[in-house]
Amino acid sequence: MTHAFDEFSEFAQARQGHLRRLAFLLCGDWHHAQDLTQTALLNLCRHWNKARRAESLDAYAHKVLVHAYLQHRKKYQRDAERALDFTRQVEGANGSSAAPSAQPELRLTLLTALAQLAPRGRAVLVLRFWEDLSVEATAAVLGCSTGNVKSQSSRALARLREILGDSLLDGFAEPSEDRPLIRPARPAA
Amino acid sequence: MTDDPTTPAQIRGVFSATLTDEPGLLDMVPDAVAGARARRRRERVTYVAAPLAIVGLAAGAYAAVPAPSRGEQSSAASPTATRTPGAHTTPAAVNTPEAKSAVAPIPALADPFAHPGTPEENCQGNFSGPPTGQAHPTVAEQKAQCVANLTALRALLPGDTVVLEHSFQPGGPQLDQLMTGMHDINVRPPGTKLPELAATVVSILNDPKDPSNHVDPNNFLVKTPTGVMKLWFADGPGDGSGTKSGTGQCENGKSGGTTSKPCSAVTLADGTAGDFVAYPNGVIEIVIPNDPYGNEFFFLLGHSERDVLGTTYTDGGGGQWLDLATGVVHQGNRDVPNPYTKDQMLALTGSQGFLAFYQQVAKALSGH
Repeated sequence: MTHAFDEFSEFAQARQGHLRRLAFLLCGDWHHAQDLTQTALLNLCRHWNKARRAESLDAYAHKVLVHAYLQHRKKYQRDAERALDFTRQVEGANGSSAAPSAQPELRLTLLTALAQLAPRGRAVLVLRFWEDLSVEATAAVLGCSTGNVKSQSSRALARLREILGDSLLDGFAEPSEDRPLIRPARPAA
Repeated sequence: MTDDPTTPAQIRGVFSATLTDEPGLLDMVPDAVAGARARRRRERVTYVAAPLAIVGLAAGAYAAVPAPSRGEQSSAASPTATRTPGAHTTPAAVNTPEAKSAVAPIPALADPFAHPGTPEENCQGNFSGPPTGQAHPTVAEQKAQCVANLTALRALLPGDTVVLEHSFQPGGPQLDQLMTGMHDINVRPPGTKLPELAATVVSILNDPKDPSNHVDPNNFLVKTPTGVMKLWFADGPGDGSGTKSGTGQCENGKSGGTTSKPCSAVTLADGTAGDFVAYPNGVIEIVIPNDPYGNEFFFLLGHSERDVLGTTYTDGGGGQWLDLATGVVHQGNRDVPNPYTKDQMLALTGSQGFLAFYQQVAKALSGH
């Protein structure tokens, strides 16, 4: 027990970068991702005695993070819109070469599309396809049934395809680090 | 994936393409550890801080009811019943826009002791269920814990009335309003009036089924012949420092912590050693650093904060809170004497009844 905080620190040091990326994929803004991760780490630390008894610490950390996101989803959705507007303005003013991304327009299109997904649907996609969790593991993180995960996933994918269009989505078919240069489709109104 | 033609690689590609501007990583771990430690300290004292409050609360809320609706009882109201501590109207309150607008009526907080009922009847409400990532304790198990704890406490304190505490936890349909209001309490100057927020919170506290009304099987209210207080206990890992978290090492009759507090040794009926700590706001804490399961157990008694939003007690004396009876923001601690004296507490903790209670709680809370 006396080393609880040391144990937590060791785990958190190793996983904070990964958790922040996960948070970004959920909320679409790096500042919010930082806040979300901070909140999740705080809650994880507070309940470390329970977390350490969990079957998988990573799964427990995922659950804490996703829970924090869903708890404040309205705020993140609202602010994500503002953040996207701001990013468009900045990148528009600076030109595409100023952005770290090689394809800022594509990135913005994707972020805008993801922002239009329902929070739980987005969380399902992130857990299933970024974290590569099984349907059962995703259901455990979200605290819902496997059937619910499947239906949420199906709806979110259909929505994403509807927003992005077949041509853009199909451009990501190859799991390569060098993304094909595709003219992004306009997001749905 | 069902019938959707989208492949995992495509979705992963979409996500990957959005991550291209990742900023440098700031180390969040030290802040998380410091925050968890500070929060644990606050919870131990802060949560517990509040009971005469119930009296002050009922009193203040009663005073807030328009005179015609008080009927003949208005003449029986005592001076303390017409004004809660610090409930005076400051110039700041008069000058704020809120003070000039029509003040929404704040309902009176319901008396939790009016119908205590049996432990089974009293242990009803929105239990939180298992912590994130855990299957236990379920709501049913928490209710059973509540009944067992309440039964034991009523046997331990036969001269008092013990009931489950209903507390406020933001959620439900008014989440945004409540979150904004709670933010306002911290940033608005003392004296600011927020009657609508107070009315909303009182309504929540009076409705056990409201989504923002929460109960915890380890949080109770106690009405003694001389006052009302909150009784709270927990069992969990220490803070890792080898000393009692929140109070620090007890040396020469003084504890550590942000503010040094009087402390002394305490011994349970089976010889188990612990510490007695007296907080400046009347809160009394019994700490057993090592329970049979390697955890730290603590048991606190202090005035209830059920009649406020925020905390009326902080170790350093700061902090702002909203008086739910008047809807006025205040700053700082609220000194309310503890109805139990040190001698009474030492006698209580040395009893066989307390030992049985402690063993029961430590076992349940440690998951054994």
